[in-house]
Amino acid sequence: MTTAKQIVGLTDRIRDELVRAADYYNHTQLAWRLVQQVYEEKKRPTLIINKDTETLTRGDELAGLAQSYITGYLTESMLQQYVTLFEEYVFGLIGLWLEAFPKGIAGLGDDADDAKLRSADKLIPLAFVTDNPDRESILRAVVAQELDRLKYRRLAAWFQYLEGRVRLGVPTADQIEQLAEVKACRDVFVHNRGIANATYRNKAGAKARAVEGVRLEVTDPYLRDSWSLIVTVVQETSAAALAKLA
Amino acid sequence: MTDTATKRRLTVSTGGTGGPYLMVPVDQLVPVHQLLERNNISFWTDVNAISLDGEPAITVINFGRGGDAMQVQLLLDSAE
Repeated sequence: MTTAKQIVGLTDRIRDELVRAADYYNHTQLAWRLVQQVYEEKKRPTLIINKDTETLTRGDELAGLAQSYITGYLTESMLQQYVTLFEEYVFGLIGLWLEAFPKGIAGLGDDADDAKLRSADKLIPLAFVTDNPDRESILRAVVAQELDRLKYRRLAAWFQYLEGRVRLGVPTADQIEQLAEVKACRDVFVHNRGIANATYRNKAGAKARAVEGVRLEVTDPYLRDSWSLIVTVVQETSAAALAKLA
Repeated sequence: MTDTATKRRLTVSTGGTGGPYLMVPVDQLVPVHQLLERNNISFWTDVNAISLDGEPAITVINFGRGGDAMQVQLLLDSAE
């Protein structure tokens, strides 16, 4: 399969998964809104019994909990899902490009922001050569190692790296800043219970939405804007990459 | 402010930890939005509205975790 076809396949798959995730979010929100209407507007008396925990929940209590689920658990978990898909896309695209144009892969320099990420780490283990049967297998192992190292760098560095390999001209600097904040926000929910810290402030830069110690809020407009941004960047980046291959 | 569908007072809900919210018929969104904006209340409104049992469609205005339910309720009560 050609690199162009692989990029089209990657882009279509990620976009389809983003659409399915957004539909799931919307339908789940609607389901909880129905619960709220049934109990708050219709005042239908209901008692829910969890047979495992023996917890009793009244319908009106569930309506209140629903708001926490909609504006908290649901939006926060969806943001994580969106960012995961975005990362899968970015590293999928870079990986395809490196496999197609491997010359000079060992070009990842030191990271000025992280002393642990040194260019010396780029040495290729001899096992890559001795344990792989052919050039393609060796190349895949080298690319996988390169991507693993790149993943630990900042989001802006991912696109600097890609731009260094192929001048796509996208995403824009503003899009990269917005994406960096979205990813920093996701990281805070994964690693710090949603509470903004110095790492978040540092990663999010000028787009930071909260000071240290404050719990970040993933509102519905923020989530939908993040989704639109990711979809736009995926489509524009792929279009630019395909234009280079044409 | 009265809910035009139920004829009951529009009431801000406060259950859970997701912040206060207001269920409001879609045809009352404009005056409620205007009231909130005039008073610099931060909010967002659901994209969807639900019509249950053929009754007027209802949507939800969210005030976020930092929302002040009492302030919004006072505004609603003072407006007609």
